[in-house]
Amino acid sequence: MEHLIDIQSISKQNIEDIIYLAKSFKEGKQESSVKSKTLALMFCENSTRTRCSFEIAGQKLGMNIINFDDAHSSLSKGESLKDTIENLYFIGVNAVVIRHSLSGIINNVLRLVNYPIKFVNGGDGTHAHPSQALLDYYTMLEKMGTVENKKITIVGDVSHSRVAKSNIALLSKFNADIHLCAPTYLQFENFEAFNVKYHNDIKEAIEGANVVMVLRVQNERHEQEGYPESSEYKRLYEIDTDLLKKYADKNVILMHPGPANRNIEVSSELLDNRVGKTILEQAQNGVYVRMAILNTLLKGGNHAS
Amino acid sequence: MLLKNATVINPAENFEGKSDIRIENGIITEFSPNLKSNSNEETIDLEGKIITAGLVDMHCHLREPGFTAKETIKTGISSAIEGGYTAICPMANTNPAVDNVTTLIYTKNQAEQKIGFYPICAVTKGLYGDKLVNVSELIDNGAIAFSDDGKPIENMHLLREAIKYINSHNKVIISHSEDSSLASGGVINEGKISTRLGLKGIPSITESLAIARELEIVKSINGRYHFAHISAKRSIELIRQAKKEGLNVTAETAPHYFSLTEDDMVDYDAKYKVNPPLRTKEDLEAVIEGLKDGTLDAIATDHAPHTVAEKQKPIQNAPMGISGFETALGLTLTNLVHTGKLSLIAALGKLNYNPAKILGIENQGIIKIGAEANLTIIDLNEEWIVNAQNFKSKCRISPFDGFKLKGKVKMTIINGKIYKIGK
Ligand SMILES: [Zn+2]
Repeated sequence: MEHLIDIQSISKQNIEDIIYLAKSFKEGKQESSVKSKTLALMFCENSTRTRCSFEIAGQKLGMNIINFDDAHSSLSKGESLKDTIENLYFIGVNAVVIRHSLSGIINNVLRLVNYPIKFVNGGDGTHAHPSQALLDYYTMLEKMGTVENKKITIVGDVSHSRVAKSNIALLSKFNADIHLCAPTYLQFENFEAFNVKYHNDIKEAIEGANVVMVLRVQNERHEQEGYPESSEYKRLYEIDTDLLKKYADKNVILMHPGPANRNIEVSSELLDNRVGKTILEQAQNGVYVRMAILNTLLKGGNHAS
Repeated sequence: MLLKNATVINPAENFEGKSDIRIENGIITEFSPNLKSNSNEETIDLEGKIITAGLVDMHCHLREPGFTAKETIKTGISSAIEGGYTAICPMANTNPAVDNVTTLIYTKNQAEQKIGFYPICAVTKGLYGDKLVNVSELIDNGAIAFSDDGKPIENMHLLREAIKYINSHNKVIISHSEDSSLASGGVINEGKISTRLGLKGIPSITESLAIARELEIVKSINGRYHFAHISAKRSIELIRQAKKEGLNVTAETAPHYFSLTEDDMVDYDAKYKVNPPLRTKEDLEAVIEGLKDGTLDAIATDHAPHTVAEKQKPIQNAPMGISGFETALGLTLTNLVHTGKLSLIAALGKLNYNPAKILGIENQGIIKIGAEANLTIIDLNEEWIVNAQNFKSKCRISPFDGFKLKGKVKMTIINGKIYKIGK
């Protein structure tokens, strides 16, 4: 595994190895192989959770960490990402985690950068968020042992969700039964893009579901041309205790990549009760999964000149 | 000068056969088999080669004035000659736009009469879509056609009046058919690839909807009209139907629409970014079908150069356009002729005679005694690898870089002057 850009470009074996390593880290059975290597966190879009998670993962691995805050960086002064990254390589950075609003930004930079710095996608536009999908998978395995033939329903702003896409890519590799539920205006434009089942009706979508993954629905979406108000969304799609109890599997797992929009896509009451605990476990597992990702990418002889 | 032993393909007169051509003072003076060379006459043996009428590009962008880092009129012309073109029709979306006589004359002076240079002028002032240009004055100074290419004309009242008025001066409007509310912010074709990549899509109805609307106008006023860069299957169906109904419309496509699809764009590489966008395999097949049955009359390059730095930007921020002159003939021969989709004469007709006829360009697209010697010499079977680094165009980045093509321009002859290609 050279980089972590999206789930499509890594193998099933890569995924299994990362999961195994994350488990070893969590159980305290694994030492860091990347002590004193240097990690740059380049977050060009707001994200406290993912950035903190990578930062703690790096610290636990004994890495040096450079935080690259976009507001103060040369990027906002018009320097190209390629130049910035080549510069980071020459000051000794071994890997860079990039969060960016443009889909495919790492594919673009990878074509231009001539030095062996490792890239980790921390979420790019509406393309991919592979570390999130890996930690979601890890969490599902902890709870269910396998995802094969499990009904996993993703509900919410599917069309803008890199989390949904990376989860679909990953869960498809392990033969999960994937369902997507959204109103027409938040559904993917093209149904041939992914081999999953599409629903507009929430009851049908979560009927017997083993996992309900709720995606954040931003209020701003509902202010766009051709979209109804957010109250319309809440009325039809808000996940609450009653809905889960009535339709989903009795051991249903509720997941959310965070941050949740309480009482829009998911009820506050549900988040605060027992079912919502998984969401905090996701956050915790995220650190171990990200340790596994960084350790895997950097354990080799790669060094900055 | 005597060109001997070539096979001549002259789509204008549906002629293909062995023939020699004599050129004196830039004019074709004899055109028949077995001509004897006179003493002191330069004789060129073209055994195994093809002579056709010089290629005519009815749609290109030379970027001058205003954007000379992308291309200049001089580099654009060199690139066109390298591609086998003896006549080109640059679009008006420069800065300032070619919407006035001063700018029109400026561009003609820059061209220095090296190539047949037939500027297309803007339909509306500044391409803003609201005020018609001074049509007759521009025609008197050399405007060959009118187009706001780069932007659609959204005001249907204005478009209707513009078609009537420009037609009354025996000129045609070339439509950049696009519905901007649907195209807005789009990066690539809307479909499974745009969804997977998380890029805003440009649905194919962006084009076909505009065409449907414009066809209704043309029909209502019995107008004459031309559609540029057709990319979508549905657009072709609409134009085919309109022609069947007897509407006086013509249409062109560009080589990338029968050579590439959205599937080529999976790595977010902006060198493939073009407007209209590369579409699906089904659309590509419809484009070829449209070329075969004559729904699509012409192949134009839509040569739209940008700097390498611009084309290396993230795909969302990079400009749209492909450097087209130097690969158009090779792609046409490779993907249409050698595959058996089009006969050689039909394919060449879409590159020379048909565009010249659509725009009414004299002395181009035809081989005949008394006409200017504007000719393209081709080796139909020579295989070559596209190397964008060697382009004469300033835009040395191309989605076809590294492509192996079969069929190559050997010489471009303009007004009797020979330009050897690839030297
Ligand atoms: Zn156009």
